[in-house]
Amino acid sequence: MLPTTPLRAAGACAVAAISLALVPGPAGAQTPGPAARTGQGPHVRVELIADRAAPGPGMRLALKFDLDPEWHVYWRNPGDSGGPPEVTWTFPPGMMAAGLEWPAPERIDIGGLVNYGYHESVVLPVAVAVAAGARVPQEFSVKAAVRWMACANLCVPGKAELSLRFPLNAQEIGQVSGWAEAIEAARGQVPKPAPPAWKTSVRSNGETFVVDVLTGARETEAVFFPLELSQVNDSAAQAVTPLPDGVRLVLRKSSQLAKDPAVLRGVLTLAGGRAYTIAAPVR
Amino acid sequence: MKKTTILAAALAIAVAAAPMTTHASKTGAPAPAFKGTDSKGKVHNLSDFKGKWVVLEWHNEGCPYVKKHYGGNNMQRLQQEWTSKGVVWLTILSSAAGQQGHMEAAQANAYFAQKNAAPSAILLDPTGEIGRLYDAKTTPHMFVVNPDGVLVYNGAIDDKPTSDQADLATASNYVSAALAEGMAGKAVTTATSRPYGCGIKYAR
Repeated sequence: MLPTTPLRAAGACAVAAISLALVPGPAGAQTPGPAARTGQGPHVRVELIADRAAPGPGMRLALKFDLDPEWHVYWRNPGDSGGPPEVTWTFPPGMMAAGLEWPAPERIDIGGLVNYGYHESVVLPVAVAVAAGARVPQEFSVKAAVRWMACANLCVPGKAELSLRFPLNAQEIGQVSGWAEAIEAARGQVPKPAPPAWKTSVRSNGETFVVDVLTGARETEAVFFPLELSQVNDSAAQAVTPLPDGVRLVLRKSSQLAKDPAVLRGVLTLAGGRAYTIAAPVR
Repeated sequence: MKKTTILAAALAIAVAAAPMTTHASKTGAPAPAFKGTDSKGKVHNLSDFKGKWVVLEWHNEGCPYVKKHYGGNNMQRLQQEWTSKGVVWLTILSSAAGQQGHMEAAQANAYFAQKNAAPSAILLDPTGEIGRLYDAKTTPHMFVVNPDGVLVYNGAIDDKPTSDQADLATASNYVSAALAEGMAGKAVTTATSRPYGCGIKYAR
């Protein structure tokens, strides 16, 4: 297989080599050095960070991706192509990760197809839950088996076995306040629930959904990111019309949509970096 | 600020690209008629295959998701199985010249022979005309047309949207299911799914 596809096979080969190189890492997880906390694939560097030096209630971890210019990784709904990062966590008994928290994405146009994702850098926080009655050990390792798809015009998969040991070592303690800030900043970019005073309606009109969001103020910029796959045609332009007390978006339906969903859910981003989750029955 | 600019640029591009959006590829409706030239120089019309089941497979050799299915011999096995049952299997290359996945005829013939692939024909679509007609998004993206020329499946090859070969073992294949149900005279249970893979590298 490899000899016939020289260019891309070289990329895939590099991925294989890196993951092989990392495989021995978890075996030596009792003494993971800083190297095991970070991993990389072509065009992507990934690290496991924490918001505190010693474990405790309310603790958050995060995956931090840093990307080469032009490259992106994906939001939970990747849009026309690609796929979101996936992680499998390994914790001591009684501890577990909640779902990843996803900052509001960008619309990324690749030759007429549209992806939802992140350029440059993204931090995906995750809350760590502790079962009632479980005691958080003072010393333990968290492992994260991460796989992702990174794309520019081309796509290259990557994976890494990351590990972070608590309590953090001296070098990590020097970094932890920066990590906590990065996690807090990412959480600030995670869409908030729409304020109760907002009124959202969705009308099915032939090949389109007409979404009215009444925020109480005229909104000049808006982008809708569907939460579910195959409801909205990702690559179609979204017609945005400011209303005196909100905004109207006309979204083309996906050609994969067999029948209207009962409820349309998504993220709405507005001028000034505001991002909210919205949902309304389709009428 | 920078983000807003990128967003605005993306929207501007999306507006420009809007006319390519069609709904010609709805299941239950006649499959869009097309004419294409294969890697042997032969011209095919979809209407030539009236009376036969037809599978359309969008392909890009460099795409990790395609490599999953060819590296794991999954696509070749499907091609062999279904063409042996009389299905016409058309593998379509819609990458533009200079883009990943683009191949000239000789290159395509050598590559697919080396892969032990068994499609009925390899259609070269560097203008993206057939791809856009079907609103094909990804490689792979699969379509199934019944003997009456009606599109009965549009979507992913299976239910494991990853590029990891290890997932083939547990995947449920939508194309095989559609063909098996269709040939048994049953309605196709899963007629559409979200195609997964690399975006097709269309001519701009």
